Amino acid sequence: MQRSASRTAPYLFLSPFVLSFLIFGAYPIIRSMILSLYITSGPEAQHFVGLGNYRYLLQDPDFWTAFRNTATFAVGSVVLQLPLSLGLAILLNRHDIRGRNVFRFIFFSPNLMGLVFSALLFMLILAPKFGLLNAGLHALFGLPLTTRWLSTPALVMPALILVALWLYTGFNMVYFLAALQGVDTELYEAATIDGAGRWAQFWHVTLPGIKPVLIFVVVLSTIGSFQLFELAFLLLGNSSGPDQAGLTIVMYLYQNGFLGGDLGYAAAIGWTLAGMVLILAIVQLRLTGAGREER
Amino acid sequence: MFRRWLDDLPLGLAPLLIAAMGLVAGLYLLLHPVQRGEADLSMWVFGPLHADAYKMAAEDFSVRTDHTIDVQLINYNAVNQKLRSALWAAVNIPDLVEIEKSAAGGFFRGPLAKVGFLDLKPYLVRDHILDRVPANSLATYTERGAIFGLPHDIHPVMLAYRADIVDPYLARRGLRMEDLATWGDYFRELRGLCTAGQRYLLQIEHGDAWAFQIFLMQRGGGIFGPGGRLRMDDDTAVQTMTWMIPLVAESGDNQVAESLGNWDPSFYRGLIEGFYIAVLCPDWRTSQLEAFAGDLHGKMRLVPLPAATPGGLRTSQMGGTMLGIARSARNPELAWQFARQIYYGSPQQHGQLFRTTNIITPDRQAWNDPAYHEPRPYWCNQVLGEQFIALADAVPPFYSSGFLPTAQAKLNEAIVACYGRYRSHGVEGFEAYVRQRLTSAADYVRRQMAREPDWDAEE
Repeated sequence: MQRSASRTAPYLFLSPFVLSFLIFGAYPIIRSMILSLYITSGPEAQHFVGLGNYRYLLQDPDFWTAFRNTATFAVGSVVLQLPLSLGLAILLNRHDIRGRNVFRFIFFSPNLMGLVFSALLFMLILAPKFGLLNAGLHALFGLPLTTRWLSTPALVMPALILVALWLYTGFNMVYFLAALQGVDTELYEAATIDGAGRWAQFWHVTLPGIKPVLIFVVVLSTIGSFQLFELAFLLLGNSSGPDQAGLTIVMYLYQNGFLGGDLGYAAAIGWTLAGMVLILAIVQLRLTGAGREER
Repeated sequence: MFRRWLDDLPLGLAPLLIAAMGLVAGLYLLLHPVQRGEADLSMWVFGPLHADAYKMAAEDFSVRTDHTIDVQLINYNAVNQKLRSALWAAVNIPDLVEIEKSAAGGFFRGPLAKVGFLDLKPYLVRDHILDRVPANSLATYTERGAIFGLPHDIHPVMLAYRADIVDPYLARRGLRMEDLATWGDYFRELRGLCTAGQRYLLQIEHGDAWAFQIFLMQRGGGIFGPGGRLRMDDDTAVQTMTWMIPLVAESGDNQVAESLGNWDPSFYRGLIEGFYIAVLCPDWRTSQLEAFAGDLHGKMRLVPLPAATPGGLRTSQMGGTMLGIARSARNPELAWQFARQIYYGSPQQHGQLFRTTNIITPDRQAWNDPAYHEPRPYWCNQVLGEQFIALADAVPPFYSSGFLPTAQAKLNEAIVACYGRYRSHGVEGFEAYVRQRLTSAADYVRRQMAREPDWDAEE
């Protein structure tokens, strides 16, 4: 009796998690996979199309527009954001910077305002003729005041990347700051004695020291960028912008599922996005050798 | 002992406190469950002014019928999502709900028997209301023969212009704004007021489909026609685009239209500073101008839209709201009685709404209320109500569809492409290019429509 109780005890302890995972995790995943095989009008009206949604998706120019926009945003954000975050972190990790805690807070603070506030703020900053950015560019370089950052297709993505930079550079800086504080200072002393310059120290001591965090931030930023929705949606006035220049994959999913009512096609988009992000994460981990190190 | 026990906690005191707070909150909610509204009917509204008016009407209704109505104000974007979720999950569906015109078509997709709204045609026929509203205003909410929504408004479009700038200029030439009967007259006679980078004759956004839709409907076209037929690439659409794009895409002094945004502060600032001297203005936009461009008090006037061709239509349509009764309504007859009261009730009630929103009701019987015949100082003492009422029957119909958002997005792409093409190549081969872009945009929408199964046959 006691033996059987001790045998069932672990399962009893595990059951709350397993049950909630099955209900709130596994079931929606399986349901959405099944749903992606149907054309739907809401959840009640369904028409089986097999892999038809996926076949249509691959030929859907809007999906590829969304993919191109999202990839541009991801590359632009990661390439600009991470060096900036790392640079700020290195700067604010130095003990000879006065008021560095204040600066750390200032750079992190955009994260404390919500996305809605940030979007509204930048709608005003980026406004033509009266916006702060145009006024600044006009005063500095004589550029026209009427530049339409949010209604000129070619400028929509740079504008989004700019806002994302303002929002997330400070956030990633915090990760790098934490990582930098974990690098053994004796290594710098040894490198100095060996005659290593600043660049050599950065390349051979700092970067290897923060590599796990760097990989983590790169993967996280890429995944986050591929999930871009709210910022673009709010900034472009609940739309995908002129010429769909701000259409992202998640926005396209939202439009089809929640505005159009075709949950099946939206599920197919969601699964395709999940596959893309998975492949991208694996490639990034392989390229950086993260998996090998763990083994 | 407690101290030792605390020390033994692996994560310290904080998680314990959070868990305790969660437990207390959970117990409180268990013992004090949120009471569902006790009202006989519930209603969702997205317009704050509408909500205020309906709350007063609900009190009056309650006194007369002894039935209560819970009117809830919900954000414009949220109401669509919340309603969709409620209908999909069949949980917490309001008995009555107001939604915006462009979102309406999305709710009419799928098998007719599963559309979340009640067909109101039998009620409209029974109570002889069909004759009281302009037929065009019902077109938007008619799907496969069923009328799923009552039109709250008509929204004729007029031209609002800076009278302080335009009228003296025209007077010097012996003209009045009312003399400019066509868009051709308008741009020709006012050309002298246009200065590149400083002042333009009309506010039109370069890559936005809404101005295009206004011009398209004015010329008798539309994105969709009756029965959900897509017509965004017909001759009318091609002509409209070929005419409209050069207004914003010409270079230098030949560019006569420009925009600094449609709804944001820059738009109002541009108008106040005279960056553009006229805007396309449905009735609801007049109250926004009064509120956000107060500096222009006594400097603005309204005239019917100049026609596309001599004798052509002098108005168009922009925006709109419908009231639907949910198929699952607890008491459909009672919901209809309340809907009837607020939409086709007393003229005074409509008059009061007009005074605060400048929106004219489609109910002809209310048009005699004094509110529609009062001069408005903001608009140089013009009688706003009479101006819009005079155009009400001419307002072209707007046909909705579940594919409207897709079609609008594709139209938007085509407009941007045509703008770019005109900027780079000018008028040479422009019409052929417009036709090709619109056809390709329409083909995309048709492909999507072709995927849609025949829901009613499947049922």
